[in-house]
Amino acid sequence: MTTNSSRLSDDLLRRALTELAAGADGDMLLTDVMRTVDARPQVARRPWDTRGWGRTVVLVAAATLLVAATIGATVVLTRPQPTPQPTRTPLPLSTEVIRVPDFVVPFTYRLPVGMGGQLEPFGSEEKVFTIDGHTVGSSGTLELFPVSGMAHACGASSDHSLRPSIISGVPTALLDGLRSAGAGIGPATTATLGNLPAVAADVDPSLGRCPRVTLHIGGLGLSYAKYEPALDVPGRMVLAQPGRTIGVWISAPTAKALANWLPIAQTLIDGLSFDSGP
Amino acid sequence: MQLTATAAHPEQGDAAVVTRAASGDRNAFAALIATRTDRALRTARAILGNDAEAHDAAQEALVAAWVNLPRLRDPSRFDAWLNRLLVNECREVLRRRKRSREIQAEADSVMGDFSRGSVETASVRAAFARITVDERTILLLHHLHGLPLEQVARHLDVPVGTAKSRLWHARRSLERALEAEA
Repeated sequence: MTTNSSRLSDDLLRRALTELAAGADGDMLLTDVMRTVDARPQVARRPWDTRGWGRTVVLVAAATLLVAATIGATVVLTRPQPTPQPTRTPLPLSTEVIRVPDFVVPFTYRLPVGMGGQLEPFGSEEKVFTIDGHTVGSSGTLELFPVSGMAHACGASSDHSLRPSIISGVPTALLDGLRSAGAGIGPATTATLGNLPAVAADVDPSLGRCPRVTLHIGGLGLSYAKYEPALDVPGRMVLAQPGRTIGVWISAPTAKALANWLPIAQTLIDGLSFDSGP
Repeated sequence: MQLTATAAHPEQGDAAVVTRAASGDRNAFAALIATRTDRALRTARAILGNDAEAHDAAQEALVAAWVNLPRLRDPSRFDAWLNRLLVNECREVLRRRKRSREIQAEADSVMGDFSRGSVETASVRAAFARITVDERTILLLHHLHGLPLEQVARHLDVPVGTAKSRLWHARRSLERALEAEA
């Protein structure tokens, strides 16, 4: 569309629109949007939602399901009884000591025997360290992070939910604060985090009134991609105070997966040793 | 955890990033919108003629995109979908503004400011404020953002021929408004 009229040329129109649109600051908008996104869960896609599949794909999927169900029923009816799987037992710690000097509190750790990988750092300032259990057949994860004393919860209004609420940096009070924020936090119990005394609590999001409370971790230098442990799956929170409060969030997608992962994660926790500890 | 910039032509080849963002990947969403915030904000600013309202409308649209992304039918239509969200937010702002005007006749501070700019373009800007939001949108896509007709059509989720026709009508409406201004 490059038509010109005597009064309205393309150039004049373009200049007018440019002036109308002037002054917009896209960087500030991006910052505001991502800050809001941190506190806003997405809607779930409906399990039966086949939009975008196309009619042929839907028909093929339905036929495949029918065939799979028929084959599955045949196999179940004819196969021998399965051998019960042994319950996972705690693994011993390896002898290799790995040092991490760039956490807010420097520490060493040892991995359970047979577990691969290492604690992966995220962030350029105060780091979060994570590891998952895929090398030992688990879907669980462990996250070690400095505690900021703030959390994102389900706000009473959309405006209030944008910013994190200040809870507390003190372990027991932090658990109380998370509970008040709507997280499904169980009773606090005494525990250990490597060589440190700690408090711990089991987390069951189905027992809370806010299905997704996330711990706000500031100062990580992660730009818009803030790392925020989310208490929206079953897990266990362990908090200690080696000078500054730190936390470990052990979690898994389901309660069954967590039961499988907890003994391994606990072994990993037992292998932690913080410099400023006793 | 670095934000990766999308390709030079952000409208193309983003389906995989949209899919990742739809599954809850905030990094993917940040990368997806990083190249679109400026355009969204400029569009809203030009439609509404008000900086603060434009910022709010664009923010609401982008957050709504994040929240509802899992239910987007077709990832390749993300831009059309986002454009629709943005234009709807702008319409909502204009509706609120109209109600506000009815309640408080002197609420000039929240009205659009289409007077900002050079004398030479003043009549065009005033005429632009008189045409419909849909007409403003298509003129902005083509004449401000410089999108060719094929991309305009994709942003509006209509055939190219329809986009061409709507663009012609929008241009005619603007010219008529310009004549009325004179």
